[in-house]
Formats: sequence, structure tokens, C-alpha cells
Amino acid sequence: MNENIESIRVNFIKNIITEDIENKKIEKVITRFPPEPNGYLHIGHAKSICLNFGIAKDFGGICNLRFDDTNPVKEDMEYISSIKEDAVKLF
Amino acid sequence: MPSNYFDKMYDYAVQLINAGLAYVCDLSADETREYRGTLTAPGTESPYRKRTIEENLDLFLRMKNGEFGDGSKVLRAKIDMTSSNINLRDPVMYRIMHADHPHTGNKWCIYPTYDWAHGIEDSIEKITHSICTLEFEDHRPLYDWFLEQLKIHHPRQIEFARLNLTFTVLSKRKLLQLVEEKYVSGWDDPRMPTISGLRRRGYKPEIIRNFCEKIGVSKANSTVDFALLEHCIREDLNVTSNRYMGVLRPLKVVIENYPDEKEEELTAVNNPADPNSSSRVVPFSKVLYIEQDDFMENPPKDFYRLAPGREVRLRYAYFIKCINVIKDSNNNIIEVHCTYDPETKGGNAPDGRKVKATMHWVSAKHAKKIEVRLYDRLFTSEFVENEKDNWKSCINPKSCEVLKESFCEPYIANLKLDERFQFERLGYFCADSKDHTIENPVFNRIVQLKDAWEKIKKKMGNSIIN
Repeated sequence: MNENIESIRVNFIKNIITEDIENKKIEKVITRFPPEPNGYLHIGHAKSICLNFGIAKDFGGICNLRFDDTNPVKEDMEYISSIKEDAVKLF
Repeated sequence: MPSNYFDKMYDYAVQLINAGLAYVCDLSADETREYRGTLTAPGTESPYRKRTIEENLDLFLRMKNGEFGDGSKVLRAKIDMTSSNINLRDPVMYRIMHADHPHTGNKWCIYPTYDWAHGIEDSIEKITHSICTLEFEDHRPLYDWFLEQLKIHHPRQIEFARLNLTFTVLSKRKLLQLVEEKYVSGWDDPRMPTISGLRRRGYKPEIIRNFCEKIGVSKANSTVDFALLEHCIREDLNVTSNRYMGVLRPLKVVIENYPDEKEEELTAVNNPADPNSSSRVVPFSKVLYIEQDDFMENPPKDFYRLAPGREVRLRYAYFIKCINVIKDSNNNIIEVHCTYDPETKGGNAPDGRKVKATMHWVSAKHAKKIEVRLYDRLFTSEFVENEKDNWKSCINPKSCEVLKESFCEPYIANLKLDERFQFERLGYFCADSKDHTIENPVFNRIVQLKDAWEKIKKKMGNSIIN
């Protein structure tokens, strides 16, 4: 158990969340990863995926995969399916 | 999908209009820019800012109903045209675009801006922590303002520094250019820093997660050395991968004193780094292939591998000694003739004599022909972003070398499709997920081994390369 708490306190974002939980500001952590479906995910996105999905996992919460479709542009299914595949396989 | 929230977003916009916190503005895009001011000069209030709530409600409804043309009106938040944060100078919330949406069809002709939509999406989904990259730090006051005014669930936005990597680009626009202009074979080209490219290159998910863990998360921008990513995978592969023998650029070796028809099955350990490793058999016969680089007719002092008159060890097999060199009419070496010492089977001489080199090999009769793709970094410049518009001029022309006449030991037919392995002394490899078949094997080099010889070569310059 102690080891778990130790591994959670590895970055400043996790520290903030730990505090928010300790101060009862939140109960269940919910994060999101909101890619725009206009390209393939790269290693930079991997950092964000690991962060958001990793935090949800570590704190027993959830992370939403949210495709930004607020603009009326044609959707490229190639991008959407690749993003889903990449995010799922990574986590 | 955020488009599911369009109705809710519209209602929230009406809520802000009713509170006197949003107005319909008729300024053109150019005028809006002019009125916005600069980093040093405050903005000027739009002449439409004083419209009454009733007028704004009516105009916004008519915007939604499609009465106005694209770009003729926008809905703006009424915040502060003199704010030091330009994002707070009456930012646009909705613009008119008569365009079909892939999910909502022609229901809407007004669409929300990113700043307006994003916080509401987070709020509706009850996000607790909205984690984004540093460039959104200046947008946080606006994110907070919208949610405070709407009095709805308010996630906490936290910014972190995005990842920068040496010897690569991570801008979507540039990656798209690499694909469209055919510098690479596609988004999943094994040289691409995309997740699918890395996967095809042989990077397992846990390697990428481990890398992300190692680089950590901070608020300070920095550039991570690409070598760290390579280090992560090398560390893993050293422990987890089996070793096989393959010869990339074959040179024929004939063992003159080995019986013509004789064949032997030698035992080889699959992973010397794993004490519980299994083993396999490797066939040996009179004609072998060795690496062209492992032979020099006139070797310099620091070259310890095969040369005329010199004895070396063939891994898991015998000591062999070079006694003759066969050349074609153009003076190219086409065969090296050797003798072997039957007493050295397994790799050690009973009389205790030593050799300075151990080399990999394959039996020509048993070898399987394979294609090998040797990948290197896509860019020659460490900081590609610093090259600005010249970034394409530092694309590495030698980032992919394809060898179609390589050979490997027959055991490779037993490989699992997603198995990563080491070709002894050459690097770590995996089957290409797109082009590999049992009949025509194609292997990608994941990463090189550290190469002491290369370092020596560099130190001494080109003088020693024949």
C-alpha cells in the first residue's frame, strides 16, 4: 500500500490530485484525452495519454477519449480508427 | 462526441446573453482584429457591445436559424477589452458557418469556438482535472471565466510542458508533409514518431509507457534526447529477446578441410542474458556466409576479425583460419577459403590457444533468404525545429537502407510474428507487420547495439576503411 502511494507521488500533477482527494474536493478522478481527428497520434500524444489514462488508473478513476468534432469538417475515418487503435493498444 | 452537446452549449450561450455577458457583434474579421489591440496596446470596445439583451437574444436566435451569411456576425463574450490577457478581450464564442457536420448534418449553421466549447465539454463530462499543454496556460482565465459565469461544474485545468524530442518533428502539419510528399511510406512508416510507426518499428506499449514515466511531467519546456527512447527499448530487449544469427551483407566462406556432404547440428543458447534460457540447434556445413565487414584482406592494427592467416571463432561452432582469398576479374573478393580445427567444436581449443574475435555466420545450404530494413534517424539535425523553413533539408537521406540479399539461420521460420529478437552483433529486429510473410520474410531493425568498432573507426577517420 505504501509503495502504491509512493508511486503515485511522482509528478506535480499527481501531487495536485492527491491533495484534491485528501481535501475532499473530489471523490472520483475523471480525466480526458481530447485528440482532434486530423492526423495520427505521435509520441507527444503518448505522453498525454500516459498521463491522463495513467492518472485515471492510479487513482481508480476514469479517462474519456473524446474526439473533438466541434468543427463542421469531413471526418476522416482513417484518423479516427487509428487514434482509437493507438490509444487502446497503448493503455 | 462534443457535437452531442451542441444544444446544451447553445442554452448556455443564451444564459450568458440573459446575464448581459455576451453580445452579437457585426464587425468583420479584420475589424475585430484591429479592435482587439496588441500585447502592448489595450483593445477598443466594439460599437455593438452595447446592444440590449433583447436585441442580442433575437439576433443570436436568427444567427442559429440561418438568416445571416458566413462571417457576417459572431457571438462574443463581454469581458474586458483592456485586459492584459488578450484571450479575455471579448473572445468569440460562436461563428456562422453554413456547412454540413458529419454528425449533426445541417441542423446547425453556427459553431462554437474551441475556448467556448472545451470547458463546457469538460464540465458536462464531470471531468475533475483537465490536463493540457502549456500553450493553454493563457487560456485558463477564460476557461475559468466561462465556467464561473455559467455556475456549472468547474474542472481544474492543469498545464504541463509538451514533449519535444531531438532528431525528429512532432508537429502534425510537418508529419503530414512527410507523408504527403512521400519522404516516408505512410503514417506508420517505422521511422515516424507516430505511435503506429513506433509499433511497426517494434516498440511495445510498455516501452512507450516506460519512456513516458522516465521523462516525467513538468511545467518547464525541454527537449528529450531521442537516445533515451532508444535506451528504453534496448534495456528491455537485452533481457527479453532471443539471439539468432543472420548475415546482412554475405561473404561466402568455404571450409576446405570440412567434408563436402557433412552436416552438423550445433547447440546455441537463445538468450545468454537469461540464465533460464532455452536453446536451439544451428546447422553447420562446408559453405558458410559471414559478414563482409568481418573480413579484411589488409587489416589495420585494430582489426581483430578474419584476415589472411588469422584464426577466429565462429559462434557456437569452430575456430577457422583463413588460408586463401578468391577474387573475380574486377578484383572483388567473392570467397574466402579457410580451414577449421575439429578439436575446437563448441568454441574452445583444448590446447588453450586464444582468438581475438567471435563472429556470427550462417550455413549457406540451410540459410533462409530475408529482406532487412535498416532504419536510422529521420533527421540529421538534433533540433529540427530550429531549422525553421529549412527543416526538410535536414531529412536524413540514409534513414532507410533496404538489403534484399541477407540470410539468416533456418530457425527464424519458427518465430512468433510479434517476436522481437537480436541478430547477434547486428541489432534488434522484428518482422515488419505489413510486408513480412513466411515465404518472404522482411525484418525491421528496431535499434542498433552499441558498437565499439564504430567508435574506433570514427576516432581514426576513414583511413582504416581499406
